Amino acid sequence: MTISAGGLFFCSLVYLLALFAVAFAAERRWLPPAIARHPLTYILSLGVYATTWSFYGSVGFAESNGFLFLAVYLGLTLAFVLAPILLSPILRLVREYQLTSVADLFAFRFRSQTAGILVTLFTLTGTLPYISLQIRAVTESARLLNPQIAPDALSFWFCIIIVLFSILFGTRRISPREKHEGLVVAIAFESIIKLLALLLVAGFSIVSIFGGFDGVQQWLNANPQALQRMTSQAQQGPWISILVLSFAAAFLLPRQFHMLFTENISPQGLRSAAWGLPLLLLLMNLAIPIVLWAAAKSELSIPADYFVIGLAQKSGSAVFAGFVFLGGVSAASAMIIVSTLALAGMTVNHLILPAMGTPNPRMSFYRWLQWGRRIIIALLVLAGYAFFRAFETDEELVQLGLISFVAIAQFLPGIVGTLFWSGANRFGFIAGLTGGALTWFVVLILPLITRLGTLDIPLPPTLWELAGQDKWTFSTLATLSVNGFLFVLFSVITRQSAPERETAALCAQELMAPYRSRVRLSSPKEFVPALANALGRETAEFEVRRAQHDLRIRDEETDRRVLGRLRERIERNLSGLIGPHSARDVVNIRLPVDTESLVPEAERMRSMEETLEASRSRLRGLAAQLDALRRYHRQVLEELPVGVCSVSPDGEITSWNRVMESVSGIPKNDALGSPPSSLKTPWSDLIDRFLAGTETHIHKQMVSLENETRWFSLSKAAMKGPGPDNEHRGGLGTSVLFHDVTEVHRMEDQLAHSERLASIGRFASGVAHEIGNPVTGIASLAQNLEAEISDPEINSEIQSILEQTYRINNIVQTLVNFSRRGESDLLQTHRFPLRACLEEAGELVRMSHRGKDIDLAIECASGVELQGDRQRISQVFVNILSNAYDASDAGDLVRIIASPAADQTEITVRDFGHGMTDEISDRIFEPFMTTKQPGEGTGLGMALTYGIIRDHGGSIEVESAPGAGTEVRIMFPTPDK
Amino acid sequence: MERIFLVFGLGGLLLLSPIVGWWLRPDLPWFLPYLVWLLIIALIPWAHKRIDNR
Repeated sequence: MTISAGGLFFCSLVYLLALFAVAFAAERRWLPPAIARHPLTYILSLGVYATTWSFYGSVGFAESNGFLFLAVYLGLTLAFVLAPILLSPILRLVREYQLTSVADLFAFRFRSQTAGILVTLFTLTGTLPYISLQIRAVTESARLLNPQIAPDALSFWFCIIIVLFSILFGTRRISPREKHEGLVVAIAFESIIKLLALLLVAGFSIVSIFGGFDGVQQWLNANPQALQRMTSQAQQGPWISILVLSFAAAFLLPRQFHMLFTENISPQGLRSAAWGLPLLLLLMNLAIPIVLWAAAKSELSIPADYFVIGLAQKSGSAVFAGFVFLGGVSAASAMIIVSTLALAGMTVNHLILPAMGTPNPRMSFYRWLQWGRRIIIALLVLAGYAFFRAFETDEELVQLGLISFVAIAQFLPGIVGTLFWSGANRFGFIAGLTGGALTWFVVLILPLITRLGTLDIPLPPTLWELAGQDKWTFSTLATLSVNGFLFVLFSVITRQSAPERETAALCAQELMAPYRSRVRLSSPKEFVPALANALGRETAEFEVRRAQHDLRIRDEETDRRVLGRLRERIERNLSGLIGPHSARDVVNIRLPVDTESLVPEAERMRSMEETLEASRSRLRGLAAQLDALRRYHRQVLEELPVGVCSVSPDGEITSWNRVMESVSGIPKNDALGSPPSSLKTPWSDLIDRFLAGTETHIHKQMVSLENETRWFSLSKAAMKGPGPDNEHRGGLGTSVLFHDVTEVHRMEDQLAHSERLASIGRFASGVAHEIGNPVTGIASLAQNLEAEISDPEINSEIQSILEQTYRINNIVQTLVNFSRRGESDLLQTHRFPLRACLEEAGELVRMSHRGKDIDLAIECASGVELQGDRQRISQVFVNILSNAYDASDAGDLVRIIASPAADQTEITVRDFGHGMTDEISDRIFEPFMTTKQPGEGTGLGMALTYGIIRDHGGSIEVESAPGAGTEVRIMFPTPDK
Repeated sequence: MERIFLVFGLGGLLLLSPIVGWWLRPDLPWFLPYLVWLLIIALIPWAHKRIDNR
């Protein structure tokens, strides 16, 4: 059965148009974004691992090496077992530092442009044969379906369509932050086609060739040598080396790296992919032995690499054969599209930009990058096509693929150094990679070239033949040994630069964030013209705005520390566009830092803390003990009942303990690393002034907070460096202690108030004594006169004298009572019901304020009792209620609430009258303190009240505000039950 | 982390050691290698569970 050339072309065109439609629908969001971002889509897109090698070549590999073909996928499975410690850290670095390829990763880690160039060149060399292999597989499969088809034209047009697709959907966005959802969905769609095609061929084989599942087993029973060969070949084959190669390829192949990390939308997707991708590949590979045995049973006489298409052809259905052909097209196109996209980014960032520099600032930088990548994609696909045309080889598909795998495996030592060995350096990496690459070329490429060029003469023995080993074991071991040895050797004998050491620590997670530098510029606005010289005005403006938006930094920001963060963010964002090395160059030149304060002390301290926190589980022995000691001291500092704030010599806060957080309301994370002046008021002024002053101690400092006023005792001490260490010659800064003495201050106030009242009491007692005696004399004389004189007019005046003396006596008696407070033994105490006492007092006050309609509400349970002198306590309530009535207007409410508790009974008298100012309420308990008109009150009522309450072991507080009424709270000890 | 090393070690034992010869034999069902592969895949979510929960 053959398919016409027109039919094949039409079939391919419809498929590729469908692919365009799927990608377009995803880009335009006609497909719900939930589908594009679904973990299943991510898993299917990672199916780009299965190329024509898997689709066609696996059967050929199984035919010659048995179950060894499974090792190509089992190695990947082992790599995904290690996903949390191997793939997640790479994903973290890629996302945090906007890296787009394995070349970016190594250029970033080793701080070396040369590393990026070498990786790019080597990846290009290793991948081109692989691309040509895809073109060859599509062409060969098409020729099987129609031997008359012109292979050159078919492969050429196939390449053209692939270039168009890659340009349209792979380079729409140039920043790695913006994902190509259309591309991801299209590649996932291609995986579905591959899987369906393979499963359909397997299904056809089982049903039509073997007559069911039993037929497969029966055929195997009848042909035991088929399974025997599959198992024995696998056991004798280079099982371990293929596992190692596929382990590396799982995440280091350019297409894998691109889909796994660069196009990753959510880190959670990796969790599902860890089991999802191996499962997808298992399903695809289930078909391989079935297809192989079905082809054997059918006695197909075509190369085993194309048994899949041969069986489809045997079905006699053009539609079925066409669909299986499309499965091969999808496998090839997905690989070429993603690989060229990844390679284009690497080539522009690591070959073109270093060679040509950034474009003329008048040109749009984004457009330049976009078109640069598009041209490179076209050139790469055409180079693959040229390779396919130039090197017609009879090598199996898998053999060419494995040559690429060995090349990619040369990045393994670098990855180990990146993630796990912070001592590895760029000299080691470059030496190792160069050695590995040269060995790869000598062992695998030279024999291939020799074979292609000298077909007529006997071939010299290859190195693996001389060593008596198989090709893949020898090449894998030889290249990786040379690479690894040189990597370690040069890393050990050469030194890391300081920036490289910092990046190494970042990659190995020994440092959580880079040390930030202080820029010389003083506002975000100054960043734009500085960057415009390198990137052009439009790009510079956009990048500065984007970084400002990411970090929520305002145009007016002047804090050098914040501007340092802005600079770092711009570098990261640019890294996604032009690679880490070029981005660093642009930023270092255009946004220079203040070299005198490259590493602020606060940042160093914070970094050290973060590193120790992150590495806690890894610390052993003495390091673990030191860390435990550090934690102990840190805990002591945190739990101290005084606020501790340390300021480094460069003026940034290095410690801010829990009490400081609670009293200031400023979170620790906001305070650390900031200068005190950036704190909110009043803390900024307070700390700055105290640090600048010469005093080392302030006994009592008032601090007005939002809701209250508090008093602090402040002390400061300079922190000397530990020992004769040059690093700390200037000392470690200053520590300031904040001791909250608000309660002490209040008690002192209360004590002073009590003392004042006591002295007034003593004075009153003296006055009463001195006045009482003469007044008694005057009263006696007046009474004598009244008895002796019978003139009614004079008697009336004498009566007035007597009334006035009674009045003076009352005052004197009140003063005496006030001055007698503390003489509780004179009290006649007994238990009495509080409610009755309150009602009695209320009734007395109501009678004395007749005519003033005030509502009195008493909330007191009937069982509540007090212990004391009932008459005097009743006097207390009368005095307080009288004041409340006087302050209230007609119709107002006065409430009494009694709240008994185990120790004390609180009685609150609340009125809603005129209230008092603070000045008056502060002096309310002083004798003769009154706001009433002369003659309306003596000003002794509250003084007497105070005395009575104190005599009963109670206390009284008054809270009042003008216009808001007054609340008097009285506390009496609750009598024992 | 221990679970990851356990599953990786088990995978290594099954795939890299001479144990390969135990399950790669012609007298066993032809699909046994796939079952070994499936076992490793099935253990991956279990191995990653604690790390994911952090």
